[in-house]
Amino acid sequence: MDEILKRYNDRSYLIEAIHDILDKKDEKGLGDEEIRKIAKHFKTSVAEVLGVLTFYSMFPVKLKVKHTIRVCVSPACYIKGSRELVEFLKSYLGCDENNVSRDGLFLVEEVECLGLCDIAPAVMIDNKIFGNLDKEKLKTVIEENR
Amino acid sequence: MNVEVKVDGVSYTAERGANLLEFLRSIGKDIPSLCYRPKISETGSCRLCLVKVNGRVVTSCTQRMTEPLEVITEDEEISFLRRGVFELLVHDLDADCNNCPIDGLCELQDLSRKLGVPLKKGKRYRSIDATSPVLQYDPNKCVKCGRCVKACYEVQGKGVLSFINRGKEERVSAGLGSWEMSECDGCGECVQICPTGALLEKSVIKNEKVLPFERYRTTCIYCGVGCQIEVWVKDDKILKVEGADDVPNRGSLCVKGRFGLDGVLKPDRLKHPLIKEDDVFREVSWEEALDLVAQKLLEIRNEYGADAICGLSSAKCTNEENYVFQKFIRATVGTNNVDHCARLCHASTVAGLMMSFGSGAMTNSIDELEYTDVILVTGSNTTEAHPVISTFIKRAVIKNGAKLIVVDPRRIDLTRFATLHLQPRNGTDVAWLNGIMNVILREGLENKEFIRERTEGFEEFRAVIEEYTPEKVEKITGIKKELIVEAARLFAKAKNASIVYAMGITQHTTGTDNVLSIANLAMLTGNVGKLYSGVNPLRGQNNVQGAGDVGALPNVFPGYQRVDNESVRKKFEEAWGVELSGKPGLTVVEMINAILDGKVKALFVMGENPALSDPNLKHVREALESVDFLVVQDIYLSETAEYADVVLPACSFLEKEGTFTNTERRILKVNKIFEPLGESRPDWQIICDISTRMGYKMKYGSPCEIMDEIASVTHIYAGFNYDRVDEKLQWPIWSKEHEGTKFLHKDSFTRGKGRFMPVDYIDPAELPDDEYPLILSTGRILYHYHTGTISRRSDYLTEYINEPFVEIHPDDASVCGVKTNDLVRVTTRRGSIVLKALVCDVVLKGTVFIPFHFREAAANLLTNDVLDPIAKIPEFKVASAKCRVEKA
Repeated sequence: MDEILKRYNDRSYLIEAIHDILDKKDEKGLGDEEIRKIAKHFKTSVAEVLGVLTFYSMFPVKLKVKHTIRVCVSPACYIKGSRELVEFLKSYLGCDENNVSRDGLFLVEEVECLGLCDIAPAVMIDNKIFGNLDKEKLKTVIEENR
Repeated sequence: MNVEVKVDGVSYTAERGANLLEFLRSIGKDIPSLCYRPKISETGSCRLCLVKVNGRVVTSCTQRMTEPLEVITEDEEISFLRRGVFELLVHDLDADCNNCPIDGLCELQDLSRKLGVPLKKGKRYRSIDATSPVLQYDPNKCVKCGRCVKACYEVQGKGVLSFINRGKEERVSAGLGSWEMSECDGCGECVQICPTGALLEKSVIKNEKVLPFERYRTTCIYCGVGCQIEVWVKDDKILKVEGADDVPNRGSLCVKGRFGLDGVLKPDRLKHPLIKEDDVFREVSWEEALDLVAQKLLEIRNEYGADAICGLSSAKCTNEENYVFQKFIRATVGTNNVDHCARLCHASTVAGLMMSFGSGAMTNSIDELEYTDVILVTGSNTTEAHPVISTFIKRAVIKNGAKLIVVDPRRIDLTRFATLHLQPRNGTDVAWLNGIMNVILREGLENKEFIRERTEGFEEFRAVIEEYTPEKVEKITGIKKELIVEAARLFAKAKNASIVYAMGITQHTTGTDNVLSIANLAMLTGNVGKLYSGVNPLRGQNNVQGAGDVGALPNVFPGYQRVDNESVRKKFEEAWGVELSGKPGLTVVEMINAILDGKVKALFVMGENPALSDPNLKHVREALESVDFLVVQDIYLSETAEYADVVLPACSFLEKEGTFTNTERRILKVNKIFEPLGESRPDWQIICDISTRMGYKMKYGSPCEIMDEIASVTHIYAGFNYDRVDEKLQWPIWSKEHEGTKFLHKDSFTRGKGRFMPVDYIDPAELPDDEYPLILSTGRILYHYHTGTISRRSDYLTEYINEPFVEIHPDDASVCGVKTNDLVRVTTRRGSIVLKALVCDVVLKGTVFIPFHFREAAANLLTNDVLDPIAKIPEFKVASAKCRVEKA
């Protein structure tokens, strides 16, 4: 992490730095200490780093889950029924108010266009892409990726 | 330069480049807005202030009038757009006004009425953050105007707040998500600027409805800044405190002023006079108490002489009360044995700057700091001790690109904003100051014209400075020589530069030397006597400046006129109609010693707490124990009052009228808000009654009359009276027509020419050795004030911190085997206390720091009561100590 930060000194590279740091890690998001370190390096506040992290849905949030399921809810997927997929996922996984599954393994997120309109409705589980889904297919995909 | 602006068909001239929204409001146009506030930068995001400029719809808050404009402030299209924008803003809001405490005071309600868009109760699906001790954030009522986020960063320089998430989940978040765990220190700038009920004080939430209430203006008591506050009162209780948009604080406050005033009105306030009999206090009538005090003081004076009586006046009390008190000691008792706690904070400033310049106060005004190019802060943890002044310094850096040099052994908060941080070993200030001046002279960066025209004693001074090469200074101070050179260049090359200092400079046996060196540096670079440049000692207590101004000092009458000057004394003898002593009296620490020597038999303490605030407490407490007659006049039964023979209940600043003089010499009004609690009375009335009983009649109808008398004998207050109180003048005020003095020493110094005083470095009185290897330093923290008599009674401040701690460097901690939260015993040659350890690299290796607010582990049991030979200020900042883990 220190190596990566060394490469970027200007506050305007905050997003690039976060990308690089996350690329080097398994997708677990950034911990409080790491956020503090980044903020200190860029001479900005931790709140601002958190603001940037939470603004972009492709940055994983801090919740300690194993997998993040991103369901696209932009128009193409929406028309093809992504709303129902979200509701199904939440009830199937028993999600709490933070959209974390009962077993703590999954986080369900609604995101804007994934650029996968050709295979709508589409979902990303971590870095893997799944398209042309319905409830049954989604269930299988989830179980395979548990 | 002006510019032509046509508004709704009418022509106006406006200042070129000025903000259009402000201008439209100034000509009476009622333009709605939400995200805009004059205090913060404009965003143009709420889009309510839309107007048409040359036919184009723009946000007026972001429009600058750089060329002639034609403005339409309202037409059908604009109204339609504004309404539409507002509907979207409030659409996802839970505007449950019926159940909101600030119903009727809400900016959003006003806008809703103005725009004809009703507010509706909505869904509450976002969680409230109520983790802060002082405030609560309800995102369901938040319109995301961003004012709080900007206020936190741009006004307070903190940047604790930010928006997180996006879309309907967007909310304001502190730090990493919770207010409690964030760096938020509770200044409440965000609450005051919030247009809705999203951010509310916890004290407000307790009420169903805030309306109806009353609002009173007064001056805060928590430090020398003199913030103007508006106290909201409901049912005889403080509802909340707001910063008044006025000099000196411009609406800003710190956590103490905004949330800590509840500590003034707690039920254990003294309500009746007390007399101690057989070690137990008995409630008595005022008659009995006053008679006893007068009779005892007379007896002691008759038997031992007037000099056997001492008085401690109070930097917490008003100018009028301090004047009355010193007059009581001088005219009624007949001695100059009157002093107050300025002796413990800025005695060396008064002594030093008197010698160099001829007057010992901040040369500039607080608001000038924001526009200074280079600020040198030394020995002042400004963020914690003078929080509102620190915002001016931070804004100078953030907004105006100023360079900040911090010279402090501790890595204080301001170092985050500093270009350079020099960490000298404690007590080596003369050395690094001389080192900087050595570099300036060697490189020819001094202001030769200023030195020639305005100063004297330069050659002698130069000879001393030549010896302090950066190499030598590095050896003494531990500051790298490169840093000294860099700091010298930065300071000397500045267009204007200001030096800000406080107790880290003054509380040394070399305190006066330190101050003289600072004055030398300012004169050498010509940075004094002009706008934005000067020497600025920050005074610690709310009226420590005023108490000295009106003569609560043993060597001077009001206006710093020396008691040993025949003609001055004649003047006062005439004014007061009594013979006066020409012998300078005893200072604070000397009084304690004189008691133990048996020379002083009676001590009268008004609103001070030497049993916690003075150095070497064991010694002080022995004196308080042994003095024949001790009178303590206070609002609570303080640590000192417990030793008293008679306790007189005074009322607090909320219950009386008067004036305070703040650190920038500004005279500020204190107004009565509540009736006195119980039988308590204003300090000046009590003193007058005792004086009259002792045979010297003192009678004033009101503090206004006392001020008139002060003005008549104090040249620097000569032009002041209560009719001019709203002008908030800064002394010297020479006449009724004079407009006060923004900065001192403009064309000539008070003493004529500024005087260079050659100063050599001397070691602190105590240096670390094998037995006591650490250097102990003491000071304040943000959440508490002085001996904590008021702040530690506050429900809110105590939630932040309510126990003593010692800061210790990780390297030293590992040597002693100490971890954070371990109980450790800190010992010096004078005493020993046990308290929790906080292992952190804020302190330098080899040093420990203890705040002095806590009676249960009083730092002053440890401090050294050795004095500066000139100013008689004790060395609070350096004592050698040892530290070991205490097994519980």
